Amino acid sequence: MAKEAVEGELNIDPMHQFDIKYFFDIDLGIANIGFTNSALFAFIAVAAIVVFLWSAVSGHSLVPSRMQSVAESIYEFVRNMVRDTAGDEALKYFPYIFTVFIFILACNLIGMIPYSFTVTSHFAVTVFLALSVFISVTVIGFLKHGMHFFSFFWPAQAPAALRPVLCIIEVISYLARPISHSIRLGANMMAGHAVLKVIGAFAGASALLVVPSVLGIVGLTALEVLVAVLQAYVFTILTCVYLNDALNLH
Amino acid sequence: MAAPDGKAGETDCKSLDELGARIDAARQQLDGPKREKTTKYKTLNRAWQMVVELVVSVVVGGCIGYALDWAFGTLPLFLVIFGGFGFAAGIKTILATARGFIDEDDTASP
Amino acid sequence: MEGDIANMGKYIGAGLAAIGMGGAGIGVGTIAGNFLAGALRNPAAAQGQTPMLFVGIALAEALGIFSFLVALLLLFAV
Repeated sequence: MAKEAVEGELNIDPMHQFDIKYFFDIDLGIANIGFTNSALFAFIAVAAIVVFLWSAVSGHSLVPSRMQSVAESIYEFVRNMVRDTAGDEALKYFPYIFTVFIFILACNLIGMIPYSFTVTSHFAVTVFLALSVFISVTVIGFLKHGMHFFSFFWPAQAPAALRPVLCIIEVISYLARPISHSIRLGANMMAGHAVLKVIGAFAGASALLVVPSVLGIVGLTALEVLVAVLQAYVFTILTCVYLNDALNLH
Repeated sequence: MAAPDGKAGETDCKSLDELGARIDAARQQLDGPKREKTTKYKTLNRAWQMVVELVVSVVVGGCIGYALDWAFGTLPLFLVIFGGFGFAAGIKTILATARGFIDEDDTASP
Repeated sequence: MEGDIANMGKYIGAGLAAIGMGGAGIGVGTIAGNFLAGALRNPAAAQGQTPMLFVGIALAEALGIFSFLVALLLLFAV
């Protein structure tokens, strides 16, 4: 993508595609909240979701059209996932989980279009998503169980002498959750796109490498579409698992 | 001629069973590699996920220890202790993840 | 001049810390090789032990990543 690319040279610049560009600045002194390409593609993803779901259900016939059956099967897939992993009680929080799933799915898939920007490849976005899940799940746990929620960290069946140590370990592993939750999504998306760009750079290096690298990019793109869907699924199912822990305390 | 006939019928039955078993085996062989291909990516993902969980746990423990040291002014003490706790937490997490894999495989394979 | 020597020590330390990644490579190779050897002797038992293979690989690889973290800390944080 680099403008100064010279023919016949290896120009590997895999991280350039993740640059944040400001369309205009709104500088508040502590932070610049101007409109960026990341924000633009997040808006595009939301618009795509709204258009897709709206057009899918606007006909709302009893015998679904193609679009409607796609939307219905996504809905049912997430709903079954929530019910299977977190129980019937968690269906109250189904709208939030569905929103998270379809937003990540749309961002990942829109990122697969060449020259577009992958919103979920930035840790700022994934950490925000994971932290919002973490905080809301913790709040749900406290609202449901009150102070009894702390028993989640207290291993009652362990030997008495070990309990304080195990409690610290439980707290650390609880606090580590949102970080590994966000790193998994962000690193997968970022690594996949960087690898695509590196393979693409080989094609520009010499005429001999054009055919193998184009074939490689085709294969990797197919794999990346799989990764995009799978990571949205993994993020959502982990959200359900955490919600289950908060609701049922193991 | 009744006995040989019965025997022939029996062998027919047996050979039919054998044929069925062979068809099943061949079908499994045909299906086997296909299933491998879809799970290969999954297993790679699992291994990487465990590494991330372990490292993140240790880093979080280390950060808590560093904060305590910063508060009390005892620099290497809590960092080391909580790094150890973080390691233990990571082991616990990845063992739980591995257990999840066993359950998943058990439900998926039959 | 003092700063230069400190920088030099930093880079040498980071390079030495990165050797640990090689140790992780050796460890992962040993685990995977031994698992394969065991699995070929008794393929029936191999299926149940794959999670333990991943636990072992994760442990070995995590130690390598710690040394990588130390190298990064030396380069950018110290």
